Amino acid sequence: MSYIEVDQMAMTYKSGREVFNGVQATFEQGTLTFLTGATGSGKSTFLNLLMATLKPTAGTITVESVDIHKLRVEQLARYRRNVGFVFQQHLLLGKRTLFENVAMPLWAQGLKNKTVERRVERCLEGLQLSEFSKKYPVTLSNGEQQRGAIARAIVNRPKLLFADEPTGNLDQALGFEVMQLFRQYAEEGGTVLVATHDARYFQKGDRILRLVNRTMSELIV
Amino acid sequence: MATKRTVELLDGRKRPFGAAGRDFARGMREALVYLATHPWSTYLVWLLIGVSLAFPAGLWLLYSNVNEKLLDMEAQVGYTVYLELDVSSERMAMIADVLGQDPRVEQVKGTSSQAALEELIDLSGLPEIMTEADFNPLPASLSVRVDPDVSDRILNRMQEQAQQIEGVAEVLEDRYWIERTSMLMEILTRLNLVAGLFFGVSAVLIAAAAVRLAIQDRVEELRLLNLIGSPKSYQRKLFQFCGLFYGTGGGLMTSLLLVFVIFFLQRPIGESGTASEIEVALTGFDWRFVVVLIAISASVGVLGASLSAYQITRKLRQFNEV
Repeated sequence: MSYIEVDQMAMTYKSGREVFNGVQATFEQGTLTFLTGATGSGKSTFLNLLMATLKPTAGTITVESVDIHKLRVEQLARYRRNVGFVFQQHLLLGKRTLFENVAMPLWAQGLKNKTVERRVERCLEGLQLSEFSKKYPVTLSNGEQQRGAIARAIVNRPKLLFADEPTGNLDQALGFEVMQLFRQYAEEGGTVLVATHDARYFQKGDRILRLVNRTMSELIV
Repeated sequence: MATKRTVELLDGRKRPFGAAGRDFARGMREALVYLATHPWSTYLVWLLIGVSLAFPAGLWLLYSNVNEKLLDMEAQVGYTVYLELDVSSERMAMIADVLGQDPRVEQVKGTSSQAALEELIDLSGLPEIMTEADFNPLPASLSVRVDPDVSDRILNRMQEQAQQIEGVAEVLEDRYWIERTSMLMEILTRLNLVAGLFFGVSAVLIAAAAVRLAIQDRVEELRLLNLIGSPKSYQRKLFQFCGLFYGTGGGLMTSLLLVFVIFFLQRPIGESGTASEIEVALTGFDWRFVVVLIAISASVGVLGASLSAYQITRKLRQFNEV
């Protein structure tokens, strides 16, 4: 039994546009998988389906044998506490300091202030962001903001980490640095899925899946 | 197997003991910060809630004062004996003596026809020259106060006996105008209920609208909280405290407005009381009243905030529909 199983999954938007049809895939723990495909091929949609922010029109997605689209509201909230997500636009909140942005998943989990402080500081230190802790996102560079978003995604030590074009705003060196972070996270046992069309980073991954013609196929590199 | 795995996946992220308390503290702190960073809109909301609640609260104060005065008066059982126009003052004193001999009578107070006329001129503003007129149409009267424990049957008999005395024109029970006032009190009670309902609802809507603005200001944060798995109750708590503080401030504002209104009305009410020989002073506006008022206002604020927060967090659905 694989950690994540996508079985005969289909997804059609209300507009009638069919994104997926009969997608079959599995993902194991401790692996870094790249998801690639042309613009509009459904990379973001696939990650949103795994996040359970979208519901497939047919088929199932199970994580640890649990159908995540059949969870009740409170269970879904708990599932999402297992998931870290790096968005295409970093989505750091402008009215919150970097510290507060990163602390949010821990606050949502209801942890003690001291625990939150310690974990956020450690996480920011690991991403060399300690000096920006009290700064607002608008005063940070794109790279620093992106690393901030990664910090927020991993601060809770989620079992699943999804990233949607995380290097879109970064130069190549910083992009490799970010991918190295994902690699390290996977080696520590996390299940990491990164949607990107940038083939330069594929060497860091364990698998590369390509979305084409509404289905998913494995690329042999 | 599936059940065990469900437990592993979902229970691994169960919120620890005390999480609700920490949510509570965080919600309170964040609401205070929001209010402090938006001072003008906060004052405006306080004022709006204050004005909305001032009318029903003021009406209630008026109601309780009038009711209290009415109860005092109802406790003073008695009747008024109106004498014939040609009765002399000696005869009037004699009738007062006869009435006063009854052990159930506590007090007999006489008003001569001349005194009655002067009082009428005082109250109505008629020209003073009338006091010098040859003919005075007002009769002398005797106000008889009776032991409050006397039954209605005995009181009726006492009135009938008074009616038999020579020189007595008419005997009227003092309860008559109290009954009229009681009818007015019934209207005032219903008015109070309706005003309380209408203005209470308007205060709820004001709080709801103000909190809705606060939510719109942080809707991105709410979306994010939804994505990172914060419970809906935590999301709502952030705004319910806003409502609580809006309501509490609104309650204080209502109290201040009532202090102003009472100060404004105290002198004319006092003067009218002196003219009617009734001791009139507004009572009931004490610390207990203020505490109850603030509690009600705070509840109104929380209710308004809950309505808005519930409506918006419900919109952030479990699954997006695209």
